[in-house]
Amino acid sequence: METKQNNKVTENLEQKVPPVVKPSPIEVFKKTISGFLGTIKTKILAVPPINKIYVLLKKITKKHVRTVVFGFAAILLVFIILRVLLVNQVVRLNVFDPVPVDKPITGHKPSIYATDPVILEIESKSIEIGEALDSVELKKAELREPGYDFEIDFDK
Amino acid sequence: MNKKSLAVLISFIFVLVYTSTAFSQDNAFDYKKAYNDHVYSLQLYSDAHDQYLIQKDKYLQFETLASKTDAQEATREMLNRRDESLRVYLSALRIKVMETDLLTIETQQDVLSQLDIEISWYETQKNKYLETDSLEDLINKSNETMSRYETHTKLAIYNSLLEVNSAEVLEIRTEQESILIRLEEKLIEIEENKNKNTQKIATWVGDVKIELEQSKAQEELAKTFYYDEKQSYKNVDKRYGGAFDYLELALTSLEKVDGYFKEILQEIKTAD
Repeated sequence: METKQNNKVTENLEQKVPPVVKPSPIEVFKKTISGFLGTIKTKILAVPPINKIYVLLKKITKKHVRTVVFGFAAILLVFIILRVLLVNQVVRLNVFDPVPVDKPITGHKPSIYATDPVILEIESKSIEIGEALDSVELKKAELREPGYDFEIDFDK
Repeated sequence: MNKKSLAVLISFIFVLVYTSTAFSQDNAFDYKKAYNDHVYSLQLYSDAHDQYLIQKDKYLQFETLASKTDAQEATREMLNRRDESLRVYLSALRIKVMETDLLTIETQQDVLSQLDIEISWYETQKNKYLETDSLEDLINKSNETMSRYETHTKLAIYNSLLEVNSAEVLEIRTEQESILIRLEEKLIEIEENKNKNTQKIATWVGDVKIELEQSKAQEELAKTFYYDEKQSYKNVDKRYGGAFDYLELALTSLEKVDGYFKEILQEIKTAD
């Protein structure tokens, strides 16, 4: 009886143990990679500050993300509005009469005679004379006596 | 009016316009063109002179008949170029005298007549160096030109240069004096308005007057130094050199005046 029972158990056991199936190379590769990554992750998370950050990031919810996006958009809008306002201001500045550029007075406040027609005329004449001073024959010496050779001789 | 007479009229107008344009172009020979001619002829002379030196060296080294002929030819060419360059230079100087303002009529006529005599002398001397001339002939003829140059031409050149330079200095000084008068008038107006301190400007105006006086004195000294004796050709180079120095001093004073004007105008245009 006992022998029969033993044989039945053995048969049952043989029937229940699934047949040994060899894993495919891809699965082996996947397992190896995930194991490797898992090890790295564990090691990285073991570092105290990273661990804390990880915990914090895990706490971020959709609400948080929404708040940040809306905040950024609001700042961008304010920036754009300010920029437009400033550009308009510059355009308004350009409307003023241009400052005379012929002789800008730098560092000093112009007097009421700065645009006086007589003074400007004298100034223009003075510039002309300044140019004439540079082009006189005395300076240019275009007509200085040329050095001609008059001593012609064939003596050794 | 028929077609024929219309065509004749148009042709006549065309010819009239063309000839008047061509005539005005001929008349437009000014100092600038004369100066360019002078530079060009001087360059031709310089090239001929270089060639003369080369051929002369060869002749003195080898003393062959061929080298003598070459030296003769190079010498003749150089002498022709030299005399022609001198004539062109005198002509440029003449136009400069004519274009210079503020020369008195007497001075201008005097200087121009001296230059004209010299120009015509070099004109008549043109082509005097002949192909048949020996080296000795060429040297003798060149000596004639040298003598003329020393006794007459040089004097005409320096007289012209002195008068031109002096007149240019005078012209600038006259213009500066007229500016000074206008500035002084304006200063009186500013003082009356009492809206600008003119103390500093008045000091500069005083300096301008001093410099103008100095310029005038230097110019007079230049002429006195140059015409100290009779208008002799002797030592004319030295006399002109001394006069030139005085004129340079006169010009320096005018440059100072120019600087003062700039300061004065800047001061007037700036608020206290």
